[in-house]
Amino acid sequence: MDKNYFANDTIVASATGLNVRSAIGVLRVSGPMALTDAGKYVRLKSKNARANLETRNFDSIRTRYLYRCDVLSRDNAIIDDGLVAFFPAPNSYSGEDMVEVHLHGNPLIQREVIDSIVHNTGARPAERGEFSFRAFRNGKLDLSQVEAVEALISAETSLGLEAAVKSLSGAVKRFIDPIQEDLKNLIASLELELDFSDQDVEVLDWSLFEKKLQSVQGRLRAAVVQFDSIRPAMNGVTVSFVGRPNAGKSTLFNVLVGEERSIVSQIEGTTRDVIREQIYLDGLLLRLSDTAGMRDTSDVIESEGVKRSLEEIKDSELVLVVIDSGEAGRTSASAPLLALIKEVSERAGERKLIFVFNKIDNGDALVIKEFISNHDLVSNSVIVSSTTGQGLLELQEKIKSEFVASDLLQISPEIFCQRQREALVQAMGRLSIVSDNIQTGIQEMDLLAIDIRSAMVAISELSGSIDSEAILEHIFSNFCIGK
Amino acid sequence: MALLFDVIVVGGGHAGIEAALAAARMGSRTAMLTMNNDHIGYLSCNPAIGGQAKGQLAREIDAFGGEMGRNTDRSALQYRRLNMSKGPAVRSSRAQCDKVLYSLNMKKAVETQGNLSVHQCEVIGLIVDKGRVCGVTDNFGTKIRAKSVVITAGTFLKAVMHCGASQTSGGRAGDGASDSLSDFLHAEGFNLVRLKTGTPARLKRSSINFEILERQDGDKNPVPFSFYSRPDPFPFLEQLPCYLTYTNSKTHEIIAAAQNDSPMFTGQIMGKGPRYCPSIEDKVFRFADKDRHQIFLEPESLYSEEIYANGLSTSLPVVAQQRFLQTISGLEEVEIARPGYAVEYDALNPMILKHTLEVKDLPGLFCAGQINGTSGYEEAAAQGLVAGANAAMHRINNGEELVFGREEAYIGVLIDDLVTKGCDEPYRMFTSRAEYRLLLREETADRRLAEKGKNFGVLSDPDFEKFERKYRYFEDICKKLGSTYLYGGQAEDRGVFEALGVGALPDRVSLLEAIRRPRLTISTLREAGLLSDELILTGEVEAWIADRVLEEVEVSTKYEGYIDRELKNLAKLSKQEFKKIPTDFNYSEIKGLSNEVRERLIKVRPETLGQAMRIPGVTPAAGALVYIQLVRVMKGLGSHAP
Repeated sequence: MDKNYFANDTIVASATGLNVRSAIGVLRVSGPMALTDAGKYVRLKSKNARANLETRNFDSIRTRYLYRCDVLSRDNAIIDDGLVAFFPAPNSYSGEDMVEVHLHGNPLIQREVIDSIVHNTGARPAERGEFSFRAFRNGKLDLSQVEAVEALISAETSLGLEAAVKSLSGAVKRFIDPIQEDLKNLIASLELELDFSDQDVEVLDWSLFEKKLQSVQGRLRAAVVQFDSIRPAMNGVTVSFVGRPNAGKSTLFNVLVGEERSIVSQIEGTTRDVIREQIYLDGLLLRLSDTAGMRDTSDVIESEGVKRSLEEIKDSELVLVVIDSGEAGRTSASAPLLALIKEVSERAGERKLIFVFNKIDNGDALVIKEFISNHDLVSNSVIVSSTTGQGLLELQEKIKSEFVASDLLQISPEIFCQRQREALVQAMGRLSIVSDNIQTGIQEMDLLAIDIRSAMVAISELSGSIDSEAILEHIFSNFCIGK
Repeated sequence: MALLFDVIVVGGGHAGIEAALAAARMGSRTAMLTMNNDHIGYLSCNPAIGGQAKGQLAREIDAFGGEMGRNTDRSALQYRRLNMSKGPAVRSSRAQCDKVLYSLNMKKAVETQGNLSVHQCEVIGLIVDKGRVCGVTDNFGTKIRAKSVVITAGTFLKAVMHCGASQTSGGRAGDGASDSLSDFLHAEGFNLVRLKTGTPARLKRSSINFEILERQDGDKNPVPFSFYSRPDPFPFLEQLPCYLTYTNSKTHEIIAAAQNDSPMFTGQIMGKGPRYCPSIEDKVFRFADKDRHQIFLEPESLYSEEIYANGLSTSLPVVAQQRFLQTISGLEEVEIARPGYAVEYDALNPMILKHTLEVKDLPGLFCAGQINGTSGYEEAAAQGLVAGANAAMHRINNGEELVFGREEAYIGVLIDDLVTKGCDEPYRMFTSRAEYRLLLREETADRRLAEKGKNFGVLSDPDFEKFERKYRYFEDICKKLGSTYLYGGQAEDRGVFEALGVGALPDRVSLLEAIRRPRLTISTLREAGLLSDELILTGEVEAWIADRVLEEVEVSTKYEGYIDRELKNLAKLSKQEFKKIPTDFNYSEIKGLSNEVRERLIKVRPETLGQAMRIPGVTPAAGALVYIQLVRVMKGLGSHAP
C-alpha cells in the first residue's frame, strides 16, 4: 500500500470527478489543516463569517451549512462563485476536519482550485479511495459491515484499494454470510467425525452433505453469472476502434460522441495518439478510445501509434473494426483488409467484435452484403455511413444488445467488482474438488475440510475472516458431545 | 534437603513431571515439591494417554525429549490408532494405561533423573523479592530458594469435591486440597476463577456381565508412542480389551429425576465445566432427544479390579449413581468401587502469561497445566515441558526462549490459544484448532521438534542420533522407491497390480509414483509381493522404525499436493503472522477501535500481529486498524494526532 495512506496530512480531491462537465463540481478537503487553512482558498460573501474565517474564529462559523463564497485561484484571483461547507472532526465523512467546496461543474475550474489549495495550503492530492480509507481508519465506517478488510490491508495498488472500499457494502455481506455459515456447517459436520469420533456422535449423512454443498455451489455460480451479465452496465464497456488508415474511425468516433473530438482529416494517420471519450447509450457507459490506423509504416511516431492501437484492443471489451466500404468493394484492396480482419479476430480473443462497414454512401450495399456473407461476418456486422447517419441507430442497438440484458433493471447483483468475482471463482474451484472427491469415494475427510476451508478463506476476502473457534462453537451448540 | 535450587516445580502431576525433567535434563538443579510422593504421575481420571489431538501432543512431548510417550509404552494395556481411514492429518494414537504402573514407572523416572530431587511437602506461598519470584515457603515453614518457580497445582487450589449434597475439601478422592497457595496468589493480586471437572464411578470388574457386551480390542500391530525406543517385549504388558455399552431411556429417567440432587443443577457447583466432556446429567439435560449415550468400560490396571466407566462422569448422590448404573446393559448387578464426583478448583486467567508461560508481571514465576485452565494429561504435560524448559533458561540466561509456533506444533497452538484467548472453561486440544494440522501429523513430530529438543538439551544425544539415522533411512528409502520400477510389459507385475483394483499398470512406473494412487498403499504393495522386504529392511534401522518411516513416506507422497499447498499458505501468512508488535505499542492512539477491543489488546499485549488478530473480539477490521498503526509507527509517522 502506498505510504501516503498512512500519513496524517491534509488531502484534497474532486468528489464529483474531473472528466465530466456538469452543473456543479464538488471538491473535498480533509485533514488537520482543512479547516484552518480554508481562508486561503475561499472568501465568504458574508462579511462577519468572512472575518471569522480569516481570523480562524471557527467557533463562530456555522458547521454543515452552505456559505456563499468567492473561490480563489493560486494567485488569489477570484475564479468562481461557489458555496462552501465546513465539517469539523469528528462529524464528517472521513472523521477528520473537512471542507467541501461547491464549484461550477467545469473540470477546468476544479483543477485550478485543487492547484490553488495544494499550492497555498500545502495539502496533497488524495490517493484513490483515500477519503474512504480515512473514514475507515477513524472508525467512521461501520466496522461490523467491513467485509473487505483483508483486501484493504493487502491491496497493493490503489485500484485494489478502491475495489475493496467499494465492497464495503451490506449487500455483499448479506449474500456471503449465509454461504459462510453453510460452509461452516459442512466443516463442522466433518470435524465432528474427525475430532469426536471416539464419542457418541451422529454419523455423517453424506447425501445431505452433498446436497448442502451443491446448494452453496449453486448460489456462488449464480452470483458470478449474474455479475458477468451486469458487469458492463455496472462498470461500463471499453470500446476500441480499429481499422486501416482512413477507414473513417475518427469520423465514426466523433459521430458517436456527438462532437468534433478527434482530429479528422483526409491524410492517413492523422490520429497519432489515443483519444478517449465517455458516452452513454441509454445508460450503458461506453469508454471510447480512438487508436491510430494500423498499417506498416516506417514513420516512428506512427509505429508507436500502431503499437498502442494493438494494446487498446487488449484493454477493451468491445472492438469496433471500421472498414471502408469502398475498400471492401474493391478486389484489389481486400488482401490487406482480410489480413486486418484476421489479425484483429485473433487478437480479440473473448472480446466482442463488431465490423462496421463505414462510408456506405461511397460503396455498393449489395457488394458489401456479399462481402459480409462471404467472410462469415453476418452476425456481427453493421453497415453505416458516418456522414449521412445511415445505420448508426442500428449500430447503437447492436452494441447495446451485446452487453445489456433486457431485464437488467430487475437484477441486483450480489457482488460488485472483478476482485470479488475472482474470490468466488476461486472458492468454486475448491468446492468442486470437494464434490469430485466425494464422488470418487475419497475417504480423507481432513482433506475435504482443508478444501472447504480454502473456499471459506477465499470468500472471507469479501466478508471477514473465519476462525476455528467459531466452528467448535457450532459443534458444541448443535451436537451431542460427551465422553 | 538443599535449600537452594535453580528451578522449583510445585506439583508432581503430568505438568510437574515434564517441567521438572526438562529443567533437570537441561542441567538445572531442580526440586519437585509434591503433596504426596506416592501420587506422582497419577491418572486421576481416565486411565488412558492420547486420543484425538492428544495423541499428537503426546508425540510432540516425546519428540522433544519428554517422558510421557516412553512412560505410556512402559504401561500400556491397549493401543489404538484412531481415524486411520479419515485422513492423514487426524490419525491419533491412544493407549489404555495401567494406572498403577504408569504412576510407579513415572515416579521411578523422576526419582532416578540426575539434578532432580523429589520432596513431599505443601507449598503455601512464594518468596517475592524486588518484583521477582525467588523461592517458596512450605507447610513446615522451610524457605526454599530458586531462580525460578513453576506452579503445576492441577485441580488442587482451593479444591472442593462434590458428590450429591456432600462437599469435601480435596483435589482428588483420597488427597487434600491446597488452600494456602491459593490464598497467597489471591493476596498477590491474581484473579482466580472457579473451574469444574468430573470423573465417573469406578466399577467392580467381577460385578459386570461382559459376556453380553461388545468387546473392543487394540490394534494388531501397535505403534509405540515414543519415536526413539520401545520396551522389550513390545507391547510390554499383557493387552486387555475394553467393552462398549449404552445408557437407555430408563437410565435417563432416573438421572432426570435425580437432577434436584445434582450439585450441578442446585447451584452448589459454581465453576464452569468443559463442554466437550459433560457429566451424564448434563448430557441427559442438554440432549433430551437422544435416547442413548455410549459408554466404554475400560480396565484401570492389571493390579486392580476396578473398571473405568468412560462417558458417565457424574456428581449425583451415590444412591442415584448406583440406581442409574444398574439400568445399563451389562451393569445390572454392578457394584461401585468408588463413586463418581465433581471437583471445583481455582485456576488463573492464562492471558497473564507470556508464550514462555512466565507470568508477565511477576518474572521468575511460571504456570503450567490445569492451573492455566486446561484439562487433560497431555495438555498439562505439554505446558509443563515448555514452562520447565523456560524456567531452566533463567539460569542459562542467554535470552533464548522456548516458544513453539502454531505452524510448528500443537503445543504452540495450545499455548498461543491460552495466552491469547484466555479460557472460561477447561480447554481441550482438538485437531481443528490447528490451522496447519496436515503439517502437524503425529508421525512428523520428531521431524518438527527433535532438533529443537536437542538444542535445548532436553532430548538426549543418543536419541537424537536415532532420529538422524531414521531420517537418513527415510531419504534412502525414498530414493530406492523412486528408482525401483514396475513394468506394464511384465505379465507378472501387471497381473498382481491389476488384481489390486487400483487401475492399469503403465509401461513403467516407480513404486513412489505408484503409491500416489488412491487406495494403493505401501503395505498393499508389500503384501502383493511387488515390494520386497529385502529392499526395505536394510538393517539401517530396526524393523518397527522402518514401518513408521514407510507410513510417513506413503503419507508425504500421497498427499504431497495438499502438503505443498499448506506450506504455501503458511509462507503467505507468515509476513503478517510474525510482524512483531513493540511492547510499548500505544493502543490508545488508534482511533476507531472500540473500547472493549482496546482493553483486550492492552490486557493481552500480543507479541505479534497474528496473535492480536486471534484475540476474541478483534475483528478483521480492528486487526487492520492495528496493522495500520503498526505501519505508521514503523514509518515514523508515530503519534501525531489529527
